[in-house]
Amino acid sequence: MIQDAQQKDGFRELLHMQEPAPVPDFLEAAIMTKIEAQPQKVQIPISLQSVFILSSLAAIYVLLQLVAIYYLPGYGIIQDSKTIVALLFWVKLCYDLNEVLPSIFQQFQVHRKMRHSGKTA
Amino acid sequence: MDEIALIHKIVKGDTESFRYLYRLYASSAWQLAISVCKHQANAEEAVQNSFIAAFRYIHTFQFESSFKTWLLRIVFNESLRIQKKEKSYKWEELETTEIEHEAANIDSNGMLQKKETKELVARTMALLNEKEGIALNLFYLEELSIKEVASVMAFSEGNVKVLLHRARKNFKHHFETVI
Repeated sequence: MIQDAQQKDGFRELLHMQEPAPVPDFLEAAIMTKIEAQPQKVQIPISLQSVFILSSLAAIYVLLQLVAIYYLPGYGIIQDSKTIVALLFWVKLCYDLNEVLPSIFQQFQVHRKMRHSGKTA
Repeated sequence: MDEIALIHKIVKGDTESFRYLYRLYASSAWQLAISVCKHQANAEEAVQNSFIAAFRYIHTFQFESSFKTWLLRIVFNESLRIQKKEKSYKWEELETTEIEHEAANIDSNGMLQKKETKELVARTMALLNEKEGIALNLFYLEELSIKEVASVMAFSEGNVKVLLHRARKNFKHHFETVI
């Protein structure tokens, strides 16, 4: 329908008479060289899902700490050096998850959309 | 090859699939960049930056529009950014081309009968306002729908319809004047 409208008023034929400006040959090589030198950036800003999962994990951690404090008096969060190490480890884990999770979710979304577009086509 | 499968491959880091996609859309991207930037070097920078950005952020492409529309929007924004950055330079360029254009008019006055229609079209297009020219090219040459043109130019569909109407009217007016 759109193409009909584009063809009916005669503008399409008229404008297609213009000679398109040729694309510089070196552009493809320049772009591909830069792309190959600088691989695709998979890391994206933290997604809503990863915020939710990390918050849940953090809540579980706090809960476990509270339980530990209640059942093991004197075992504070920062009192024990082992806990500090565990805390640092946890921060590192969260940091890694923050990098990995978005790409996992992205892959999942791409698969889902491909499946969806396959069904509708 | 199916565009969706191609994009999926690129998301996985396949650069050769991206080369294929580049060859498909390089001409459209170039025509848009050159019509916004009006300067070869700036258009080259805009197209280069746009394709690199498209590759880097292709995983954010949501399949809600066609890839072409998504890419042209990046090209349009990047071209505008470069044009703004080089505004003073661009003005100088415009002035020069205007003088050249006037000179061409004087030269061609006696040879109007020999003018080919395509030259008249090109000259008429050059007389159009920048936005009108871009809208006409996107709609008629790139064969985008009004919705897609609106998406590329970040306008509402109503604005694009008005812009196209005005562009056609001005085109007809300038075309008749040029003839």
